[in-house]
Amino acid sequence: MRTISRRKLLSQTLTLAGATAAGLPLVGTGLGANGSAPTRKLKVVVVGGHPDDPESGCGGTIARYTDLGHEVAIIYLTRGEAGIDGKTHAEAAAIRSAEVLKACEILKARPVFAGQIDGSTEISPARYAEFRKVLEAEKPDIVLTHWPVDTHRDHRAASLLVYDAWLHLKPRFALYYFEVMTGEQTQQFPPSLYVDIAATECRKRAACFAHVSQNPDEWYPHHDQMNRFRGLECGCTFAEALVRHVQSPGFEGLADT
Amino acid sequence: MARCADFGHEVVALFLTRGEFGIPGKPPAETAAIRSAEAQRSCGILRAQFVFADQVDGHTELNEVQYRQFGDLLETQRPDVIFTHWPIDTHPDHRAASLLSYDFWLACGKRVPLIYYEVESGAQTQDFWPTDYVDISSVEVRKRTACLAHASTVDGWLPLHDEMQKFRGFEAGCKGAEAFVCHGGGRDRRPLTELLRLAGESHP
Repeated sequence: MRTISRRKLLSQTLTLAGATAAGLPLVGTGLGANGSAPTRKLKVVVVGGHPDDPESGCGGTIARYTDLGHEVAIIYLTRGEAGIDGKTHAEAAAIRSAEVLKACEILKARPVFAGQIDGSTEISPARYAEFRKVLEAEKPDIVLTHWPVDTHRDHRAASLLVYDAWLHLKPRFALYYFEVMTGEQTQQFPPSLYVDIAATECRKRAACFAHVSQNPDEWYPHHDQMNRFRGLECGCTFAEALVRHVQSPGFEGLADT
Repeated sequence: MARCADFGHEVVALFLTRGEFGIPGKPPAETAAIRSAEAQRSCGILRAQFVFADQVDGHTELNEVQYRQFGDLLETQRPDVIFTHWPIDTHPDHRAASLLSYDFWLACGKRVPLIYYEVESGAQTQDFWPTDYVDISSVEVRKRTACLAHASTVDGWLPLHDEMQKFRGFEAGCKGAEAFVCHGGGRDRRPLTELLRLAGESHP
């Protein structure tokens, strides 16, 4: 990584803070001065508990990153093995993995499967080490994952696995949390920034509806309402809300001054 | 804890581990014995009971079995209020304690308030935005004495908690305070201070 003077860092930081207010969280060297052209290709990794979680939590943000030319990988902690009534784990995993491929194609993202089992995810020293290797291999600049206060154990597991990797991996990536099915699943979520997804909301919707087996017509309206409300909060038609981890690197490079 | 006990409430400290790996150079069994005795002294000062949940320091786990065992243990206490760690914390054992408690809270139908506390903020607890404060000016000495009862570990962390209490006091407008996040959506929606005060008045 190139060396940046503190004065230049401060100048860049203020520019990026403005860009973030306009809608997209980025790390220090990822965005040009006008807030649109990337100066360096970023590696963004999104981690979710099951197929459809990353898409519903931050599909609009994913599409905005890929539209800017950044690389996005989506790590699914499980393949949703327990998610289709009447199907075996293997059958459900096959169906839902195929749906993942379709969703990722729509968002121009690359899927990765982390190998835990839907409904039986675990946290232990071995699981932390195992997941850390998966994330380390991606060499992320930015990671987005579930907020840890969530009624679904698998979502909590995904969140803690990412957070633990954030504590251990160097250099530290920028860490953000997203929300899913707020109230029913994500709880106690205090947004600290918003991403304007008006331009990508259609692709987010299409990516969510690629998960046909999950009956998206039953749950997407909840996310549609969330996106509209977050848009109201930040002054646009559709938005996704994120929490930036306070000690995470990011546009607030002032911590280094 | 001290203020609740002073109101006449029953307070139970549920320790997820016995701190088996918390004293460098000592074997786990010896450390567990030392730290269990310290916990007993500390709880005596705070007039609290204590229970150990039998996971192992530094090796705590979250899985179906642990969720069930911890939930069963917490149920036997029949709590009216649950306090636990905030889940974003650099220590994996703190995260485990938090999510085990949260899972019980969900399973019991959110029937009691669930309240998160902070420890060594910044170094351990992170991303913690308080919703409630408790004025602990009248019990600061007892808290400090209870912390000092953990003689094997206290030197490393007590000064940071002194700083936290002063700052939370600034925020709350008193000499010393502890800050909390009260989980929304529970059936009992009284603010924390009202909850404790009213409950205290019902136990003269």
